[in-house]
Amino acid sequence: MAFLLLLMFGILFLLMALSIPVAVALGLGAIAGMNAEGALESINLARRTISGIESFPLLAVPLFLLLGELMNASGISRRLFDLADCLVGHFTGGLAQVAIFSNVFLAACSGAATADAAVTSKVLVPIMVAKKFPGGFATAVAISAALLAPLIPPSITFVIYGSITDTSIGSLFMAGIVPGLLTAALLSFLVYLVSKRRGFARRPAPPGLKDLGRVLVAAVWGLLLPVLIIGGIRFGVATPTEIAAVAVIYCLLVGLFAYRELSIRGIWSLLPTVAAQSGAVLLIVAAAAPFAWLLTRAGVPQSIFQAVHAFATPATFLFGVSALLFVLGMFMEAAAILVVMTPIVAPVGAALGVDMVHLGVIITFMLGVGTLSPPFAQLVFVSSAITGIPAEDTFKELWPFLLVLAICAVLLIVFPGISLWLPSQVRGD
Amino acid sequence: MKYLTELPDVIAGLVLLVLAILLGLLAILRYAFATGFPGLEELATIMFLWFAFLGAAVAARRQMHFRLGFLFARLPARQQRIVLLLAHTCTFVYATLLLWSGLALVVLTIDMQTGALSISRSVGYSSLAAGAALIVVYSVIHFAREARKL
Repeated sequence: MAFLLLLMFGILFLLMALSIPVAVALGLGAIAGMNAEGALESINLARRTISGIESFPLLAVPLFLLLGELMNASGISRRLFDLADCLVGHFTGGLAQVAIFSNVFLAACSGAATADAAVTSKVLVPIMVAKKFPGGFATAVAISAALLAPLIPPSITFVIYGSITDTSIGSLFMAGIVPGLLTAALLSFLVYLVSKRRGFARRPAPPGLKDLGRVLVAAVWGLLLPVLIIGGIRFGVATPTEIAAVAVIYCLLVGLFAYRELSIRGIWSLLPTVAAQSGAVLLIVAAAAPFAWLLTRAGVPQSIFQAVHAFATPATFLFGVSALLFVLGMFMEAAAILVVMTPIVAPVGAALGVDMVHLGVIITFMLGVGTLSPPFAQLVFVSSAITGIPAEDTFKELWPFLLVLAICAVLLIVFPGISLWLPSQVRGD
Repeated sequence: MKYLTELPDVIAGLVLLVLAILLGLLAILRYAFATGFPGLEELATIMFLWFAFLGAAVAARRQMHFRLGFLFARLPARQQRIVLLLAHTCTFVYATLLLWSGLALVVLTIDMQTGALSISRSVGYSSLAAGAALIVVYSVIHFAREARKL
């Protein structure tokens, strides 16, 4: 088994370091492993690759990606920013608080941190810089707040995790809400402390009721979107995949007929981009399936369990998984870590008595934190490409945010109820 | 030529739009009128396979597949081109193996029928071979373009 692990992970890390596409590195690592194990029969590679994505729940991935793009193109995101500005723009921290608050709204409609980080960087960061916020700080707030997207439903990470581990995606969606709100509250407190010390600008006074009413009315179509998504899941009206499809239709109708900012040509131009974004994620999921199958076949999860079960408790196991994901997040793409590591750690966690929904929340949270960690720091570079603010400036301002996220991780591990209370209420436990 | 090049983009985009509208409308119909279509999940999964592998090909053509850039960015321009040639070669090898295995799977499943729709399983499975074939073509084109710049 040691030779197999060395071969597969050696090829994976070597090719990724050489900037070979992650899906290709995973695929070639798996093919080398299959060859070494004598399992590279003609159809085996194709069968295992297809099995990775031949799943109805996974259909929610492109639908939620499309939803995120439609929200931006239809003007829903902009109106949610305006509403957040009216509600919290006068708090200490001003626009930095707006970034966090608006990301709570955005997270409740879209499922990918990258999309939310991109739109916040595009819309809000330039305004923050114009109001004398340091560029690095503005970016650090925007990308930290974007981590709410995979926690607050809908969430693409939860969809993929749920389909790999056969965990209820509806329960995972419910489990992410309280951790998402807790993270938002702690980030908001950090922004308050930093802004107070550094004297950042804020709106001089809260807006009048008339202005607030106008902005609220304008944003009402957007505010109904989370009600539709979370309500639909909470009351079991449809599956998350179907709700994603209904939300896409709703967003199309709002953009075409209510806000009139969406055109047929505009929709048409979005579709191939979303197809390419989805294809990039889904090929990683597909390529990882034979990789994970080989690791499971070689008995890697059982070996890990044998090694750790004598001293590991659910909490120590979750701390270990969190540390591992954080380190991997420095060097690997989040989707690749999710699809390679979940089939290894989930059986070990289940054998140690860890709740699969709780594990899903921890994995999702730590994968998000990994996207902020240098040198890979995917979200930092996405934002930097949009705003032109050097990544080094962001790294200098990012460490207090990483510290707050680490505190959040500890709270989520030590108090499983933060994640599990809401799903238990929904199930009526 | 441009239309031919962008045909996979158009088909993948159309499949996504049709999937969204079909699933959304049928969910609304089921909730409002308690009517259903038994083969829907199977049909949607087949369409999803086509969307996923065509999308992967579109991402290959647009060079949108995720890769780690922090070492690459520190290389001089000429060495970056050599790394890109290596990346296109690895993509070519992987996609060729997927195509070989995918075609074998299509041949094996051509007479097997799906449960609800009773159509050949190869209808969905041929998506892998189709997507892989496109990726093979795109990796050759990208390799040739990059090699000319050396």
